[in-house]
Amino acid sequence: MGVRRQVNVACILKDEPIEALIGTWSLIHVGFAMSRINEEEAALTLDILRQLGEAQAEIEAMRASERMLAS
Amino acid sequence: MNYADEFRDPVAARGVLAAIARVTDEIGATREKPVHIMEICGGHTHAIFRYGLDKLTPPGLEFIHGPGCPVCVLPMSRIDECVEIAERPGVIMTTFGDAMRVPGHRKSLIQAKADGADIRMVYSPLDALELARRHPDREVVFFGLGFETTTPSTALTILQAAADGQTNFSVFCNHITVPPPIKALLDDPHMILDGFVGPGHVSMVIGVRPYDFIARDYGKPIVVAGFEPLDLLQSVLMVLEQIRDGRAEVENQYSRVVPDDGNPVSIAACAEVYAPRPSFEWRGLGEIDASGLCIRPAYAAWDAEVKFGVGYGKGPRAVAEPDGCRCGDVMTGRIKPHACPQFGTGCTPEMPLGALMVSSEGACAAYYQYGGLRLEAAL
Ligand code: SF4
Repeated sequence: MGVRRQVNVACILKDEPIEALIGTWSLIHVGFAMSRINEEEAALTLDILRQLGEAQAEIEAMRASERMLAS
Repeated sequence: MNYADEFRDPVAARGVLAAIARVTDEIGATREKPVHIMEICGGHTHAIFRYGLDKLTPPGLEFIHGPGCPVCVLPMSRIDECVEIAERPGVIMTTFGDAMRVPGHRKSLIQAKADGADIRMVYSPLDALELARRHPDREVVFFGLGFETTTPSTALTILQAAADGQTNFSVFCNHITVPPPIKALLDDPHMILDGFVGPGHVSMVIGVRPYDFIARDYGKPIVVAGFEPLDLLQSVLMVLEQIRDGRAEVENQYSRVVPDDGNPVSIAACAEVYAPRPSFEWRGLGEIDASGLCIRPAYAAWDAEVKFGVGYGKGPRAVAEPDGCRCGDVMTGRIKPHACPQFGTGCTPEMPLGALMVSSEGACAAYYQYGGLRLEAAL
């Protein structure tokens, strides 16, 4: 459930018609759209985070296996 | 994808936390000799407590809570001046909700409202302008406060009022900027900071270049961060890695929202409407050079200071805090909130004595709300 509200998009509009914003995500602050979410950058950041998560799972599996062999 | 849930993934968080523990170790930081990282922004302070990140990170890493909560650093004298304007006949004072309960010397805005002043909460300065349109016989004043995240919205509203010729609207301008207090903190001889987590929303407006001096002149790392738990953890890891490697750079973890050069439309609107004040008072920190903004003479018709003859430096400047309040020490990281004798007794979110207890972004309110009291007292 959301809220409907008119926002001012002057800050995020480049040389383009307003329709160009349809389907994009923006960060809204006190009634103004302040930044358009950059999807490529978001995906890159998530990639790094995922790798850190996977690496940790790997390390934990290795440790568990070592413990198993040592016991 | 909604760009929020993905940044709360517990599996990824475990990975980042393990990496943070590893790098903290590699730096040689311990509970006795911790590495100190300041999160500048009050939104980050709130997120750290809300998600308990301070409890998940190793004891060798200590967060110092920065001055980035606009309501918390607003000096009492400005609340007094705002109340003075609000109590004039014919005035409708409009403000963001979190400014209502900030204590002044005489009273807070909420007390002034109870005493009969016409004070209304708005979501946006545009709503205040709309109110002026609907009440041509009244003077509508917007209590403009906040950092660079919010300055453009007030500037654009003034530009709109000017374009519309809406002369019964004005702004009581208390906008402040982030880089000057960071410089003041770094110039403090007792400074213990090893690195910074930089403000995400401020940076989406000003970009990352204004922080260059932190790395270049002071040799400290700074990473501009988003507000989800994973954003914060990843940023802390990036700061720690810089410290370990002996690097001092400005890095941008929040690149999905923060372009390196900021938002040109916002920057231009602010340059058009505001000029820096010679200095501005920060609660707990004192006067800081060029840290506040005033409205340029070209827009004096929309400047409440000019309109009502109330102004920065015009009234008596009392800087004393209420008795027993330790806000200044908390703000500079000298003590933790619960070490203030008023914490939780004379000062609570319902009845705040100091400003740090008012906003949910204030360090004292965050401690109070998320149990920092119990945890830290038990240690
Ligand atoms: S507990 Fe209240 S009075 Fe004490 S430092 Fe925090 S806000 Fe200030």
